[in-house]
Amino acid sequence: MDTWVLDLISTYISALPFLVALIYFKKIKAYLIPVFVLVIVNVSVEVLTNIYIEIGRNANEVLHVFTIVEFCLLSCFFALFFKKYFNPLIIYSLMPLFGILSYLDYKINGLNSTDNFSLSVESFTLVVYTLFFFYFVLKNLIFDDLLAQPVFWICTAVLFYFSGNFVLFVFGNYMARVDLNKYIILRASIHAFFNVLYNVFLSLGFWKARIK
Amino acid sequence: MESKDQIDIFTLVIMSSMGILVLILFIVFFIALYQKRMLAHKTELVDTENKHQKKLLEASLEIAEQERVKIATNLHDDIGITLSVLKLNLSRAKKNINNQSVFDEIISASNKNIDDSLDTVRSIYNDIMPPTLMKLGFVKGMKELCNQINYAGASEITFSTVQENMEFDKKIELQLYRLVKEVLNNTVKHGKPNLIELNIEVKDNKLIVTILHNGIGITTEAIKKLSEQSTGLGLKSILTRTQLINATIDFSILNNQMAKVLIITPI
Repeated sequence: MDTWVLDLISTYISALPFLVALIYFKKIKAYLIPVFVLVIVNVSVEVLTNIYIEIGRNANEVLHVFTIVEFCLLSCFFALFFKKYFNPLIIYSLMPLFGILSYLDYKINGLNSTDNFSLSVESFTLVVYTLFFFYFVLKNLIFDDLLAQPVFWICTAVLFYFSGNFVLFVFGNYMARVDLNKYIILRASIHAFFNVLYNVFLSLGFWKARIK
Repeated sequence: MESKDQIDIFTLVIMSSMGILVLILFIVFFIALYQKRMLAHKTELVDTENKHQKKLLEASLEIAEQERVKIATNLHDDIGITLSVLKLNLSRAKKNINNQSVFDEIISASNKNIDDSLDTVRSIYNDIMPPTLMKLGFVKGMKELCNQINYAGASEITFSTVQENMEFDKKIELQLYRLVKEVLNNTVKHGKPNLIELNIEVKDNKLIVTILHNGIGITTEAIKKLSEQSTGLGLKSILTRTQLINATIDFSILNNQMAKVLIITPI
């Protein structure tokens, strides 16, 4: 029962960064626009998956597409941020590669399974991007007050969510085959917990955007 | 066995996720804290550099001011007075135009006054723009400097170099000349050596001036402490001129009998 409460909170909290971003939309810099779009997509996917669950349909096909969109938007965010400092060609070049990978995942696992392979690759890549961001910021000291920067909180959100869920994504399909009910409970709790953290930090990031 | 594997995988996932959560918390906290410290350290370095530049500028201005005072004093005390005496002599000459012996005496005295004034003017000029250095180059300028020190008689200085012709930027040449002159003056004044050896060589686009003497030596650390405590301009002038030409200067004591000053200047 408790996990369903957490799952419910996790579903509705995706609206929080969307609302905060909407309030401070005029203050949002160019590199945050992909994250704003992502937040809108998040809310839409949450609504859509809930509708699918209500009508008894498998929402995995939506999630397959969402994975690709999420990766591309977050990659654009990192690329736009790093564009000021160097040519982020490698970030742009990984996007189509990821698309091909997701297509292969769909071909191998089918549309109705969890796309744990794509999710794992996505998690790993985005965690690498965020760790590189932290390294870059420390090495070059580009910010006077790091905690006041929206980009810091966005990267923290990405790091928490994707690293926290990484093991879950990697072993997702295996656990589903072993014990589907236990897997659903575990996913609902772990994923929901990190999703709440993710959305709270994203909201914080957009909230910090109000400071010039 | 199978259920144990099932429990294990689920436990593994839970434990891993919690472990990663703690790790990420630590990483983010560490980054936020460390970045502040690094930034504070960088700001401190920038402040120190700014203070250092300001001190350098102040020392340069002080040295320039001192030079002006010296020139003004020479002009007023020597040339000014001499010209006043000359004027008086001209008036006396006019009054004694019919008295040949007195007239001749006045003319002779006036000639001497003019010669003295010309010597003073030459001395001021040589101090500002040493002619041997300006016309014949750095090596000849150093030789001339050594001759002057030998002529003064306080110490005996020998000069050596393997390269007779050294061409480099005139501004660096002048500053380095003044720097070496200041170091030698201080060495003679405070070190009281009998013998000084001055060697100049060029190696890997660097001009190396080596001064060895048998007087009282001093180390670089002692020089830096003295320059902070002392109100005199000699040491500050040495350190300032060194920094102006991006040179390095090192004072060391080799043993009880020998001390060394090493000046390395990129050219």
